[in-house]
Amino acid sequence: MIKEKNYKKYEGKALQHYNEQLELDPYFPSEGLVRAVEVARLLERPLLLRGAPGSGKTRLAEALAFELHGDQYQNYLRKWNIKSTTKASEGLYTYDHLQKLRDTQDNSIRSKQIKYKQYWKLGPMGEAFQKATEENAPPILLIDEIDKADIDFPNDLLDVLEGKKKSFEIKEANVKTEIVAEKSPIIIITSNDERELPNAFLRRCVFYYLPFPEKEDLYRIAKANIQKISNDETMVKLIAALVDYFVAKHKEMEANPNAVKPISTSELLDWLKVIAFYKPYDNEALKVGEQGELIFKNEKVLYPEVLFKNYDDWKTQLGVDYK
Amino acid sequence: MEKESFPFYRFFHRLRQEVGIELDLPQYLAFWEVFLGAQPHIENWDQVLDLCKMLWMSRAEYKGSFERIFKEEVAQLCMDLKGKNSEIKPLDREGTHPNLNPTNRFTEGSGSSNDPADFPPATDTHPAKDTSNLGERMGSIYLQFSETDQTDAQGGIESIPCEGELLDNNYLFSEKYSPLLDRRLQQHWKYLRSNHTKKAGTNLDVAGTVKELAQWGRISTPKYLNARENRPKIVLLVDQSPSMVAFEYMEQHFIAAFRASLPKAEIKVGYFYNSPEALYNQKGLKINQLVPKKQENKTAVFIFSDAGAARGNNNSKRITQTRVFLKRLRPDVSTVVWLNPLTEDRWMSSSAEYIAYLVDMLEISPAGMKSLPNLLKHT
Repeated sequence: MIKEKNYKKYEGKALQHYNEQLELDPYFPSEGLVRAVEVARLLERPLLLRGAPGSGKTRLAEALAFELHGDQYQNYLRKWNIKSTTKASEGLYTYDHLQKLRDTQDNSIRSKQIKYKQYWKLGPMGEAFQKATEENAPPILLIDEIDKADIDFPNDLLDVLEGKKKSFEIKEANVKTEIVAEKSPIIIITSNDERELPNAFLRRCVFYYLPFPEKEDLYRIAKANIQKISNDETMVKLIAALVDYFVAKHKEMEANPNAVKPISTSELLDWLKVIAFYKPYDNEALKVGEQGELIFKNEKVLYPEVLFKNYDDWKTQLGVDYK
Repeated sequence: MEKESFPFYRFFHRLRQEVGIELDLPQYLAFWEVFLGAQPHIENWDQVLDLCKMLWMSRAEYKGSFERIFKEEVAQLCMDLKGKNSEIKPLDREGTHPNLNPTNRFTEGSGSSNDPADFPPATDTHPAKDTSNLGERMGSIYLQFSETDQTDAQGGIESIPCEGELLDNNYLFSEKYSPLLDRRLQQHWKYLRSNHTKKAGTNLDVAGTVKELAQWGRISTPKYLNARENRPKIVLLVDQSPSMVAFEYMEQHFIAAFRASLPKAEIKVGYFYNSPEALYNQKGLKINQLVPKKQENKTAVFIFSDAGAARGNNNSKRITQTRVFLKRLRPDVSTVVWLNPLTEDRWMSSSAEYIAYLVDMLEISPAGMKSLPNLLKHT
């Protein structure tokens, strides 16, 4: 059961609006996602989030940290961005062998000093474990885009993530040094489903699939994001038509097997920002028709460079070669 | 207590047996831990299904089967409860009851109904409410998990990714048959590794740095390990002879699995007729163009052919040509694996039986492909 003394339930309601002070964008988790977070906390297992790019996987960690820890959320949030060369051990700590070698060669440094000097630096996972022991409230560890890592990476993580009591030893230290987390941090792992993860790893996770946002959700996201940069009433009125256009385009690209990179939420938000900045609606380069449809002057989508980021998609959507 | 009487045990077991999800005992226990400890309480079947998905549906592709079995099991559970509480005779599994359609109940929630077929109340008589010795009681079914792990989930029963139907005589009527799941295939191909240097990395090469220190007595610049990425070179040689026509879908399925699981791989496909010696492809390339010399033995070659097993022919010319071909090929590649769509018992007395002595030949089935990771790991 949950060990926290001052347990605070995650309800997913803390970021309904843009937080100007902390520059946090709004975040609207579904009821299922909120429950999945609570299930992961109860079982002290990592929450494996999967879904298409732009579905809001990575942002959950930030929103969760903010809801649980308020303005101090950054002290409790550790992000571990995975690369193709990332090793599981780096998440715990890295050891500065080179500095130690230099020190051993430096006659002015005594061997006793070297013995007790800390040559290691905790990684994001190590820091989260340490924080989980020191604090009453749980830290949040985000392991972002696990698919990018080497095939052995998830299996290497197993040893560390296994069991509710998380611990590891810094083996290179001269004095026995062990970091023990009595409580597990909240671990969120994101995956784009680009590669298969081993069954042994999956068995230890709680799963949640984030679907691409529905039109209503996109409208809510778009509105909340635009309100932070523009108070222009015309722009606010345009949002519904812009989102409609985006959703239709997204569906069209999803259905087209030749489409390389279907547009995602981040492209929508960038597109809206550009339109809000340049205000093409002022000179009727962009307007809403009688049926609520979006009308582009010259029938060409405005600022396509923000939406279509693949050459083939560009050609298909615009029917032109931009070279 | 009989294991079958644990609520949702049968659902859990069917997921393992029928869908092939590799679930273990801690995952079953986790379900009960959440079910009993969740605040606020789980209130309707939708939430139970969501919880089961969170804990047991490890891949999105299981969704259809998962939800179907869940509905069946909920219907059965409702019938059992109804039978117990009001002495209504429970219907058999295939039976239907107008008031017990599980699909209707999914969105109804628990409500205030006293109908025992509704979501069972989270108090009183719920059999799993007695959690004091849940772990101990679960121990009695642990043995069964261990025994079935090997057969059910790993090789014995594999879902068939096709849209066919089973005929009365147990033959599968489908043009799209593949004996292996996509994910299983993708897992196999991941063992193909060929690390190519990409760029100078940022990770310190401790061994290299220490070596320099020992050699020169000082460190000029630290040494760094190169960043690497997996870009294996793969050549697929596909038999296009008439006996392989039936396996055309399977070929495409394999090629697609290669491309999906190894997006950075360099994959070339060549075609041949009976023996790979007579190779051709769309551009009329020969084998030495598909596998050029000086490849530093990094290319993996997969031959997709029945090797004569489909017709049971023993063709000495075919065997000789294949031997010559393999002898010439081997110095330039890291591995050669022959994938035979016919089961091993069909190889006997055909050319396949002899060719299997010349090269690692695997039948394309869950059991046959089990040894593939080992073959690939050691290349």
